[in-house]
Amino acid sequence: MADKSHGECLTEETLTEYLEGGLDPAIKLASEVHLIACDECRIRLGFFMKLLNEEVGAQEAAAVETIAQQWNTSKYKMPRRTGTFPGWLFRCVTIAAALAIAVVGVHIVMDRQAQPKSAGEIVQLLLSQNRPFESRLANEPHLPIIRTRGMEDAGVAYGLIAAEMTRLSADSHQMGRFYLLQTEFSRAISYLEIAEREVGAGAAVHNDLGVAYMESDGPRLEQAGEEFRHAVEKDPLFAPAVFNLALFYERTNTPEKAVAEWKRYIQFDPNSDWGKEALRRLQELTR
Amino acid sequence: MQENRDRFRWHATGETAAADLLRECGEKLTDRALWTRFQERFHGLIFLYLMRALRLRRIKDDTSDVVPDLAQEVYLRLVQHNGRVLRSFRGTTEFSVLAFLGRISSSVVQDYQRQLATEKRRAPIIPIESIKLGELAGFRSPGAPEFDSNALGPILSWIDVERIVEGEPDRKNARRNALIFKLHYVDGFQAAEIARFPGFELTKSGVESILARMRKRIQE
Repeated sequence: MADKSHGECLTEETLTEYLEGGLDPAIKLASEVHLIACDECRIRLGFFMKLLNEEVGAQEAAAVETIAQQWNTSKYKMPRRTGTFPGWLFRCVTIAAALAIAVVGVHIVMDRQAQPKSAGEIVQLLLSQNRPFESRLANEPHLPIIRTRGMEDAGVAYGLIAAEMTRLSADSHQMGRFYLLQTEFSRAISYLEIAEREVGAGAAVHNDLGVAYMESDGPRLEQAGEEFRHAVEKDPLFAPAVFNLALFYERTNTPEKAVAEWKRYIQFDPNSDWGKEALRRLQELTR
Repeated sequence: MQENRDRFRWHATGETAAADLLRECGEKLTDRALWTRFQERFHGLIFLYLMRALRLRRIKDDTSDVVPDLAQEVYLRLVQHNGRVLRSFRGTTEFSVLAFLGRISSSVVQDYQRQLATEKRRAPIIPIESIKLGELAGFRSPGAPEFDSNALGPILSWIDVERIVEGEPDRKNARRNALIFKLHYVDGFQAAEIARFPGFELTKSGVESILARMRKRIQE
């Protein structure tokens, strides 16, 4: 807050501590002097008085109940009204969306024979539908990279799947992977960094954090390399980390190291689709 | 009202103190049982604060649609940086926990409002400082001041508040009483709404008697 003629404006913490009655008497008095003179701070005080009002009206209680039910049960997000298009269009879109959801649902049932029962299964299900980037997450099945089709285009309503993840008690690693699949890198990194600090964090966690650093296209590329190396130290046969380490060297313009890592990868995984992709990349580098 | 309190469970007794639960969650970010308790206790409250903040900031979105997404953001802020905000929480009372969650919810809504303004390029951000609470639809205290506070505003700005404070016989609380006077007559809060907050250290009738006394002095 800017300085005013009536002194420094109050922080939100001071305002709520004033309401609580927890301020030191001298600070309380100074705050009152300021609040009498500063309309802006008094309005902010009023905002918190309204926000923290412990009385909950019937209408508010019902609304909270509805939201809580939505949080607990919904898996798909309905289109949000923007006010720009007529109502009939939204009804058509709603019907189309419902049909699309039904088709996707049937597809999932046909593919999986069962709905995911854990947060880990949700992530695996999403990974089986899309490959979000070149680098490889732990337990990621091989899919070709389709660059023109984003994850959101696949019709997956991530907002509410996230709620489902929370309901299924997803741990930090799973939440990090989930946000990584949406390419929400800052959120993904926050969760994965938590997972990394946990006791017993394995090669998979280090690998996925490395992917988040590398694909976020930010200043943390070097940290990605460290995480991949850390993963390989933990488990020298952890294929995704070796694959990613090779990619990392490609991206940091050290082709000789990239070649060495691709060769290492092909040695212990020559036949899978990942192995074939590694071989193709190696051939491109040595051409 | 008791029913609502029970429903949202922020006044439950016989449980870990709310402030301790908050700090413990910050120390054990992956303890599912602990976070389940957190969720049982504060989930509804976070929804409520987000909903209120959206209304107070006059955001027109369907709140039931957007609140779950924002609640997720609240949880993210609680756990990010290894739970720093939770671990650094120093409050001890139930109210301090509510205020803490209220501040985070408010901040999430403020960022959401900024994001909307950026994305849609349709309206400038309305800072909370510019919102006159008395003007907020549905939040006006019914029949609070017995005359139009909008009309009173200019008069109050003309009245020398310092003089009122100086003439207040309760010297110890002179400035608090002047603040209460403004909260009531300028900002539209009822005596009961003011008395609800422990910081004012007054009952509803206490607030009413202060208001009556100050009104009388101004009329003199």
